[in-house]
Amino acid sequence: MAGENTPIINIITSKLRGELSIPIYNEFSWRFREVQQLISGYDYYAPLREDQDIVEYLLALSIFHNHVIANLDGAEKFYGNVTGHQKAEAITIGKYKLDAAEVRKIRSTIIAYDQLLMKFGLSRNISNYQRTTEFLSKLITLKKYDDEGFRN
Amino acid sequence: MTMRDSETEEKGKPTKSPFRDKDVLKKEITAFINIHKASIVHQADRISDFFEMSCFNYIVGYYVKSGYEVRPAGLQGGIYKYKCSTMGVQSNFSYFEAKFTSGDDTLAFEIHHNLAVQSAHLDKIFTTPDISVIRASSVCYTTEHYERKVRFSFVKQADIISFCEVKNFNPFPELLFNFIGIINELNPAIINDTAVIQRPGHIAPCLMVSGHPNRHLKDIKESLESRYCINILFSLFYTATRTFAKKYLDRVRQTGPLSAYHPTSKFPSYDKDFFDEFLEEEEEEDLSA
Repeated sequence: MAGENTPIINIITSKLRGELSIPIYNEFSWRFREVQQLISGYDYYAPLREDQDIVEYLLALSIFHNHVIANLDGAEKFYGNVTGHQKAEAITIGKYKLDAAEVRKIRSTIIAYDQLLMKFGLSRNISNYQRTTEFLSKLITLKKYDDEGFRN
Repeated sequence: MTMRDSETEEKGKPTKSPFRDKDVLKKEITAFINIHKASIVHQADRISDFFEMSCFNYIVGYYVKSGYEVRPAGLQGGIYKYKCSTMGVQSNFSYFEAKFTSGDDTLAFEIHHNLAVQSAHLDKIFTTPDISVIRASSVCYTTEHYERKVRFSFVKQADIISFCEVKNFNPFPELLFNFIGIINELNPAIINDTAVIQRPGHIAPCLMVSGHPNRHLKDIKESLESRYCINILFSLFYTATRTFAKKYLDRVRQTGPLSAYHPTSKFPSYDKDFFDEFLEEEEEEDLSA
C-alpha cells in the first residue's frame, strides 16, 4: 500500500499494466502541467491557488474515471443491454466471461466511486471535459458554491 | 461521523466539501483506489475490449434514440458471444438487430462486430471495420477466400449501410487519412459526395478515438469533415456522453451528401477565447524554444 506522501497518480497507476497505466500517467502529467501554468499565470484561476493539492487529486480521479470507470461502466451497460432484452446469461469475449458475478464486482467499484463523489457533493460531470480549462472552470464554480454556502 | 453528517447523508446531500475537508478527500480517494485496486487490476487486461463495447453501446444507443427497436440476436446457448477479432465464422457470434417501423412497413438491419466487408472496387477484396451496420440477414459465407478453404464470413458491398472504426489510443495524422482510405474502399460515394440520404436515417461512417487531438489533428478533422460526410470523434472518454446525448444527436452526421447536414443544436462553450489565447502563447513558447 502506498505511503501518505506518494503522489496520487502513482497510487492510481501502481500495479496496472503499462498499456493502461502509461496513458493515464501521461495524460495526468501534461494536464497537471497545464493546471500549474494556468493557476499561477492567470487571475481567472487564482481562486484555486491555495488548493492545488486538491486540484491534483481531483484531476487524477477524473482521468482515472475516464480511462477506467467509464469503460467498466460501458461494459456493465452493455451487459445490461444484452441481458435486459433476452435470456442471455453472460457475454463472452474470447475466453473471458462477463457474467453476473463479474458484473457484481464491476458494479461494486462503480457504486463505491459514485458514493465517494456524492459524499463531497461531486458528480460524474466533473470528469466530462475536453480541455483542462473546462475542468478548472468546474472546480472554480464548485469552490464558489462552497464558499457561499450554497451546497449546505 | 457527526449527527449533522448522518442526517445530511440520509437526505442524499453532500456531507463534506472538497475544499474545506481536504484531508478527508485525500484519504477517501486513496482508500477507494487501494480497496478496489485488485478488482481494477483484474479487469485491466480487458479495458480495450470494454472500450470497444462502450463504443458499440453508443452506436446501439444512437439507433435507439433515432427511433429504432434494437435487441441482441444470435445468442449462442444463452451467451452473447462478442466477436473481438477478425477471425471466426460470423454465425458463431452474436450481434444486435435494429428494426424501424413506419406504418405497416418494417425495415430490419443488423449491427455486427468485426465483420469483413466487400470492397466497392473489386469483389474479392475485403476489409473489416470494428462495427458494421448491414441489411438484415445479409451475412454471406464462402470457402473460396482462404487458400485453406475454411469458411470466410463477409457482407456484400450492396448490403453495407455504415461502419465505425474504434481506436483506443491517441490519434495521429496517418490514422485519420487511413480512415479515408477505408471510406474510399467501402463507400466511394462519400468521397465523391454522391451518397444518397437514406430513410430511415443511419449514422455516417465514424472514426471513434479515445485519445486527444492536438491542434494539427483538429485541423485535419475539420478539413476532412468539410469534404466528406463522416464523423471523426476524438476524446471519447470525455465527449461521448455529450456527443450521443439525444439533444445533440443532430450533430452526428447521417449517411448522405454533405449538403444534408444542418445541425441546429449547439454544444455549450466554455472559456474558448481564453483557452485559444493560452494555447497560442504556449505554441509561441514552443517555437521560441
